[in-house]
Amino acid sequence: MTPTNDPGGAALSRRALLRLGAGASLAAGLGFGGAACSPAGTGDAVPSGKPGLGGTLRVGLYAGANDLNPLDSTSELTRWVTDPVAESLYAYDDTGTSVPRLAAAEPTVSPDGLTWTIPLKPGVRFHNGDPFTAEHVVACLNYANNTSSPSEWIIYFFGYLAEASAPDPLTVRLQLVKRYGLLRSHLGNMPISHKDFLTRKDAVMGTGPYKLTRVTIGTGYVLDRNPDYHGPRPGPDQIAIDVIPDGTTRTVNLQEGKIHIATQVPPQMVRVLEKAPGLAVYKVDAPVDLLAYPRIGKAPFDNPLFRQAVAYGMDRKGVLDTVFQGDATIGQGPVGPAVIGWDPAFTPYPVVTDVDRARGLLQQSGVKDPSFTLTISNRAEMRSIGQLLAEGWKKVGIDVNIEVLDGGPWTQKWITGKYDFIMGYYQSGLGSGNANFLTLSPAETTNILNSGYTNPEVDGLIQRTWASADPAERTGLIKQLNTTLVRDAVMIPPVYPKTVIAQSKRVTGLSQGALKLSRLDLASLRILS
Amino acid sequence: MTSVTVPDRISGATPAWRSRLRSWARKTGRPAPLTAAGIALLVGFTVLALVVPLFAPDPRATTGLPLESPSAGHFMGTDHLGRDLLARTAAGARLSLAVGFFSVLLGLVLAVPLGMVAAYRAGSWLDDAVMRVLETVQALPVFVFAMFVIGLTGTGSSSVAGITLSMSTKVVLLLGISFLPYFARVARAQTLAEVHEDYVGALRVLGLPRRRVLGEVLVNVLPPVLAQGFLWIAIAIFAESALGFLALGVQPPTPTLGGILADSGNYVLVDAWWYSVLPGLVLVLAVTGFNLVGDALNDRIDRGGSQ
Amino acid sequence: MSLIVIDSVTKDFVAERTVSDRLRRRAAPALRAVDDVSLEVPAGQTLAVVGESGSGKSTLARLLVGLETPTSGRITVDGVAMSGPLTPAQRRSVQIVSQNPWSALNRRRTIGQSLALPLHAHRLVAGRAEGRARVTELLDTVGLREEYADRRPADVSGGELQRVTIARALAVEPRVLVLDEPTASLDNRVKAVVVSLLADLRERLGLTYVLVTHELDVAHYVADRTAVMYRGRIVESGAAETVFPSPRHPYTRMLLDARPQPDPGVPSGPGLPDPTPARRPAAGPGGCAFRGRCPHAMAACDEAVPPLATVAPGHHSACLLPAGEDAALASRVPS
Ligand SMILES: Nc1ncnc2c1ncn2[C@@H]1O[C@H](COP(=O)(O)OP(=O)(O)OP(=O)(O)O)[C@@H](O)[C@H]1O
Ligand SMILES: [Mg+2]
Repeated sequence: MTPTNDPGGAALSRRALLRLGAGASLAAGLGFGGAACSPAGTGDAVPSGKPGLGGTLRVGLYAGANDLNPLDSTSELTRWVTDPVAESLYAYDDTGTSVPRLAAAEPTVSPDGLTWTIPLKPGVRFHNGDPFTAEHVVACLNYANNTSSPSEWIIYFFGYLAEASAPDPLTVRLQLVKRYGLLRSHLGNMPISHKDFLTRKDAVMGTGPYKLTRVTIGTGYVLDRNPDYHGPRPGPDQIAIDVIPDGTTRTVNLQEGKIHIATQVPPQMVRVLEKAPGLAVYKVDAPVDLLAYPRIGKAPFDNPLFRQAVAYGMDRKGVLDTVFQGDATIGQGPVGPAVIGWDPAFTPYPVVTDVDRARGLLQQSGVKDPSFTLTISNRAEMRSIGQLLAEGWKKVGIDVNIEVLDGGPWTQKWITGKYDFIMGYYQSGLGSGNANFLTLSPAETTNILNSGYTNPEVDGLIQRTWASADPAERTGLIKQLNTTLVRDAVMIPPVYPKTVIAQSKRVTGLSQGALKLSRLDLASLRILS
Repeated sequence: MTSVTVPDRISGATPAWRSRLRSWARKTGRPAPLTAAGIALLVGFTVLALVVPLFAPDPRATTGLPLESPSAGHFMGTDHLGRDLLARTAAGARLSLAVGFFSVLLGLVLAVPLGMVAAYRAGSWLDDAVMRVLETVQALPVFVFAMFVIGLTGTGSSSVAGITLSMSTKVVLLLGISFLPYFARVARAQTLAEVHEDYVGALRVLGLPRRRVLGEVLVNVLPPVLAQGFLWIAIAIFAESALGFLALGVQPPTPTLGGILADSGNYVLVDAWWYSVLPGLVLVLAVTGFNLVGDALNDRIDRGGSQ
Repeated sequence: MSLIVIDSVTKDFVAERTVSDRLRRRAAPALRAVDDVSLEVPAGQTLAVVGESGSGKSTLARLLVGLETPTSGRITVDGVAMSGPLTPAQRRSVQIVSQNPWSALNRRRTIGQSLALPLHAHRLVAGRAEGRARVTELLDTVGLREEYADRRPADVSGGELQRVTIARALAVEPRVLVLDEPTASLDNRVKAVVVSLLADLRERLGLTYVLVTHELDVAHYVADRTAVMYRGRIVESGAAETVFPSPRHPYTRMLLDARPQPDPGVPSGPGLPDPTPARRPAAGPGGCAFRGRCPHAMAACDEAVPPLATVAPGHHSACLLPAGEDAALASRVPS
């Protein structure tokens, strides 16, 4: 699985070399003239016109996905491309409520909670003309629940789903091992693709409003409107998604009108874009995590007092102000403002580094010559965060080494547990919705990503949380979980970042409700004409 | 006319190097303007790398607000984390200079004996074997080789046979090894030209051991090879920066010129011109300086300057 | 027994096999630089080897000092084969002085350093002071003042420099000096100084010389014995005082005729006839190598390589021409 979402190595090096060249020529005083400031192009003027159907929508994505199969990856790099192509059984409406899409109605659950029956919408066809039937849904679920498939969805289903079957072409039946109330959330997050495309990584076949017509690896994708779509007509006739790894370039392209939407606006660019009258910037609290796991299985993080010293010595405000220019929320534990169970009043850890408290805890912990390696993923913000935190910890007396890794090696470290403290940026919402399933699960002793933390109380809470079908109960349980995990300093992100998307005002209708769940609803956009 | 008679004792005590220096100065005269500019750049870079860190604030510590423009407090402004950019650039320059110097030194120490022995035994299997191996190493461009190994071993320190190699040592090793074939070729070509000189035969006939004969050849092979090496310091500095830029070099918070440039690229559009321009200028000027002086050295040696 | 014995020495240079040679499974062509040469030099005497450019003189010189190994045959100095492993003392006993003194000295070393190097390598002196004194002594031997020790080759004239290379050779107290065109690169005045120095040194130090040269007057002046080489072979040899006044081989005669006349009033000889176009093409191997340029060539010259025959006591010539006829014909050579 590839739970981090950093640009691939090849793209990175090419971009970086180009930029090095650019840097050198800049420094030499060449080509420096226009590049520096004032946004040009459409960013300057407020466009006018009527929103209409048709046209080509252009989107700047910050990296190209290695795997285009939405049943393999829950990364936004995959999903923002494939979501218009492959739909789920249930989809979120503007208010964030999950409503039937490929399903005809809500599932019927047996009284023991172990048998779920889902009726499917009739008359739906895949892009190749094949009718959408239960066998495709079953194939997808079996693929997701198969330990030997590369699907990230395995963590969502394994140990819960016993069998998926198709009693008739328009009915899917799920047999569960134990109660699993959260399953309803997963059914709204997992895309359904044609059964013949389950092993493809370079293409996707679904029932959605757009067909994937062209993939240029590392460069971009072209989606064309599906004229036979079973739902309401989507807006643009075509969606062109360009991979533009460099944040500055992405924003410049937006300013110049080359793209309508720029994803992942670098924090320092937000102010610049906000001033441009022709652009709109959305800073949305979404299930975006700064994963922050100390390796509890070994020294020095096996010592709870040391963990707390690290948590108190964390320069949260520095990260918030300097790295995110204030566009984030101070972090405490695994549960942030966009997921259920968030309690803004629960702030055991200080905003500003509490050096004395941290020193005291450090002394109490008895750890001699405290030092550790902070492993971070290779993104500009992560590098800044790493250095700020290291400086803060140095004031407390902890010596921190920084190790920067690209996506693949970073994930490898996380899975193999060969880290002291690992930190990465992750949009968990595409797989977990607002339930924070992926971020919380590693706290469970048996989880593959467990950091060495074992707490029977937490294990029990997690089991009950996922089993519960009652949203209110689940929210309460997650709150409880969060409290314990924060107290034990098991997951200590410095801040909860926001999803930042900027768009040209030449398009309208970007759904902020979808953004709150890390979705980019491109189909409902309208281009002004 | 007053004539000063210098007593023999004293003139005899005049060290040879002084008269050599004087005759060198007489022969070389004033350096060409470009060479003078190159020397000035190198002196500037060296001062920045070796002297400025003694006075500058801690390059890792936040000593100002983020992205402060150049001022009396921060001559080069501050970076995005509020750290003094002059201090960081100087520390990066020091690392670059050290990596450049030591990687070239390592390459030379390994390559010169290899190239010389290969040339001395030109045409033998030994020559063949050495050259084939070096060709193989050379087939991988310097940079690709370094990236490959760092990709394999990671950007932290590695331990080889019980010795812990810090990341900067690793960069030095990798660059040095990847320079090896180039240096060995120069050494081999120079030696090939040299072994046809009669003095080599004469020394063999005089019964000098091969080691001593090679030693005599070395004094003639070395100057052009060193001049080449000087040029390669520029390449090493650039390579080190490029590795840092790709986050494959020495890791933050240790400042590297490449790392600074990589970070600064994100702030080009927010009016923080000093952030990318000043460190970029340092890198470009340093590389230019090494090139100008290296070229001048090469020219002088090509012209047959023997002193 | 003679100090130097050259016994049927042949030296072939094999070029590297080209790609085309390899494809055709062909051995690379060999060049015979020295062909079945036998010579002897008694101790204290000087043998001059003369011949035009490319005749293999330098190769013979290099064979003598062990810089090349004979393809066949054997060279011994005082009974020791020069191609085999040598003790340092044996190694020292034969030294070489070559044509180009600038090349023969390390240009980055001072003359003093170049002279001291063999002294220290063979531990002929103990310590720096003694080394310095011996260097001064060596310089003095070749007539140079002490301050030359601190100069570099670039700052010294050719004649002086050649004296330095001689001094360096003498540093290891050799018995034999092989002099490969020692004066070729010097102008006439300096040449005379070096030649007389060499003659003087031979007397003082009891040296044995092999003097390789194309300058017959130098050879005449210094040599006791002369060997004339043509295309790797000895075509005539004998005592200098007989070979120079009465050469027997047409080639030797040509060399003598081509020699620049010391007296400017007398016009110089016609020079060596241009080897091309050959008067008669050298038909295949075998036969006399000189026949293409020989004014007296006859049918028999194509048959076999003429052996080196005794024409007078201690005088050998490799020519089929009968002695009398030879002399008669010689008078018809235009002069
Ligand atoms: N190392 C070598 N490899 C191949 N051929 C060689 C080598 N040394 C000499 N030869 C060839 O052997 C032949 C004899 O050369 P040599 O130098 O002995 O002649 P020479 O009589 O000394 O001529 P010169 O008067 O020009 O010095 C020449 O044809 C030369 O090209
Ligand atoms: Mg010669």
